[in-house]
Amino acid sequence: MNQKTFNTILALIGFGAFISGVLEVLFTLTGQTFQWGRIAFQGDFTFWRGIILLSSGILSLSAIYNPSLIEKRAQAILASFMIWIVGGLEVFSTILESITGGEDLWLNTVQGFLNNCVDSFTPAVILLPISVFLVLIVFREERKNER
Amino acid sequence: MTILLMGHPNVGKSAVFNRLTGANITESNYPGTTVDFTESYTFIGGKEAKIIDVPGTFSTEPKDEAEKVAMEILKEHEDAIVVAVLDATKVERGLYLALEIMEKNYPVVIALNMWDDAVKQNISIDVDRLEEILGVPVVPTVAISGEGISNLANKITEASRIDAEKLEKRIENLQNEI
Amino acid sequence: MKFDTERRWELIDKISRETVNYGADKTTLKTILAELTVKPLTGIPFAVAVLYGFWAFFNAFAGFFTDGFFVPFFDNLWLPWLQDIFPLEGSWLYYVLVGDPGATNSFEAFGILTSGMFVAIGIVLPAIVAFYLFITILEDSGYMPRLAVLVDTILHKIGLHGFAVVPMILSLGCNVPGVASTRTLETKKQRFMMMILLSIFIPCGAQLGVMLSLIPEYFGYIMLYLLVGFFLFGYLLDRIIPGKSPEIMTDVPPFRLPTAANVTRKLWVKVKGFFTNAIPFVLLGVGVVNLLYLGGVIDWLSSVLEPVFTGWFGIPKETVAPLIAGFLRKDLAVAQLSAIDMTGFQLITSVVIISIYFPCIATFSMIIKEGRRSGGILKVLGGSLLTLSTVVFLWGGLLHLIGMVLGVR
Ligand SMILES: Nc1nc2c(ncn2[C@@H]2O[C@H](COP(=O)(O)OP(=O)(O)OP(=O)(O)O)[C@@H](O)[C@H]2O)c(=O)[nH]1
Ligand SMILES: [Mg+2]
Repeated sequence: MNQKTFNTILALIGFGAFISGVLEVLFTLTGQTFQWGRIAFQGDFTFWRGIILLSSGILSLSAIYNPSLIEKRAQAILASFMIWIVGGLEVFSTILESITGGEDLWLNTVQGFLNNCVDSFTPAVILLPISVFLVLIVFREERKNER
Repeated sequence: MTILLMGHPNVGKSAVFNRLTGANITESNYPGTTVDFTESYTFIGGKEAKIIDVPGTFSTEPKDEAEKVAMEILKEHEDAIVVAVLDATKVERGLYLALEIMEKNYPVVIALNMWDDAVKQNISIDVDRLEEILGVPVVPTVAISGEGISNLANKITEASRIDAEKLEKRIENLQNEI
Repeated sequence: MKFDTERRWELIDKISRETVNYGADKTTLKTILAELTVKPLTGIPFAVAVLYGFWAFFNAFAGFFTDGFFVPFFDNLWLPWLQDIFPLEGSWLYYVLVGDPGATNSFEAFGILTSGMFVAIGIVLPAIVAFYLFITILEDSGYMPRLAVLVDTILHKIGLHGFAVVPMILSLGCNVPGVASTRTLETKKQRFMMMILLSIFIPCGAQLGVMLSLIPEYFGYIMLYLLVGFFLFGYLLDRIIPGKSPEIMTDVPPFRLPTAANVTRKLWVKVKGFFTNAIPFVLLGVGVVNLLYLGGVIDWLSSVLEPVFTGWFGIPKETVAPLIAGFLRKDLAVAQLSAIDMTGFQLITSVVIISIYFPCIATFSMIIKEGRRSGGILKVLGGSLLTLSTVVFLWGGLLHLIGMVLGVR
């Protein structure tokens, strides 16, 4: 993969993570929630989630400087792992939450499950696929170099 | 027959122990997981053998309680065979302890564990040559997958005591050959 | 014949030159990644992410089982069924086994078969499975010793030396292996210090789980107060106890992908241990407390201890019963505390006191066992009891004082 594509992806996740992190922190501090389409800036522990996204964003953005250096690529991976944790666990908990049916149902209906799953999500979930993609290509490249 | 599994912390002694005996003791990726000994029985060469997983130790001069336990076990079992478990990516460190034990006149077998890691890191070890120089069996193993474990079990009966003086001579002669 | 150290290294050097061939030295992505996790600038944000990950995982997992299945099961099926079929209502046996006949939820019935089972299986079991799964992954991936190095670096920056971080992290799972792991410390002083600090200030996985499930809103304050106590008393003990506390070197292993086989095996061993060792103690704890209630012992103890409890610690005298249960299981004690009617600050104080007043029986017997190996049983036992009572009165009383100064209730 050429440097330009790599840089573009990095910039995309970097800005995405940084801005959503800042917003999440700001919204928690001012005690507001905010919804933009299906993307919701809310939930438990938003403050810490914001801090993590924000620092992940900074790590990604500062890796752009020279992504051909192995140190910078490692930094980009670390930043992506942070998004994996936040986004991945949100997907995990949304799925578990949607399985239980609330007060008088043991299990949710299939329809209820699906509705609940796609109801709303935080920015980290959107960034998740991109960061998975980034990590995959970096590791693939790495394996090529090793040969 | 008593067999002691000895080696540095985190080289995979407990993993080897579990594979040899089918036991279930804790394996973790940090040094100092095992601080007490565990024993279990298995058949080696058709005979029942007691195998002891000894806490990790850097040398035979104990620095802490866990290493003291290790040395007590070694002293208590004067007629034991020692399987010296080495991390194949850090052979030198492990050989130091193995040599110390051989000098104490215990019969020794060397298990070069983490062989898979060594391969990944492009480290190649001439096992036959090592066997020849040391005069004890050397077996590459991968304890997490079980590779080499049955080979190790077979070689335990071939463990031998070495004569330190002769060993020294053999090593000194190496340079002349080159 | 024996060689001396230098000669041995010389010989090994020769052997390795003959037999070992190291491939071209390469810095791989993995090694750099590993370094980034221990450098404060990159390591701290990552550690925060890992802790957040734990918290999110715990909430999702324990919430799924506890709120989704066990609460409705125990409240809507188990409790009414027991109240229905159990004979001898009004007898002492009914009181001990089923508890309050008018209870509408399993939590407040206080019988062995109702509250005892619900706390053990409905709350603690999901909590410890979530907890141990996480700890196992920390252990097997190789991140745990790295986290220890990172924490140690930070401690050094604020002037705290000689704390053994690996035993601290292990103690968060269970104090017993935490205490055992102090065997890898070099001096008796260090072993004693860490053993006593761990068993006093570090709540175990089961207790942490119950706190996260039942009183999440106070969790942060309780942990903060306990950790500050840990380091403060560590600092003091380090000055008071004679002897050396050398720096602790943590050997950092390579990162490994945890294997599913090993993770499930370890988890299984722990869950089995929970069923055989922990559940009987939880049930026993409920039984003992109920019998003591019936015998009038609790009421008597409450009135005897009331001056200390309300006067010095500022907590209601009803907390005596959980305190007794706490000798057996801290998780049960916290669950019982959360059912007592008191203010938030009193709840924080009483949970702190439950944590520090005495190690649970399992930990205590481990300390006795280890004491034999490090400096004599009497010395260790005397030292720990002395430290323990000082800590309980000072640290527990101080919290009351803080509350009064801040004016919170
Ligand atoms: N890749 C690889 N990993 C291994 C091998 N053997 C063990 N391991 C892993 O290495 C780590 C350490 O293994 P243990 O068996 O706990 O090591 P130990 O020597 O008993 O360590 P202490 O009890 O601390 O002295 C674990 O995470 C194992 O899964 C191996 O052959 N290859
Ligand atoms: Mg071990």
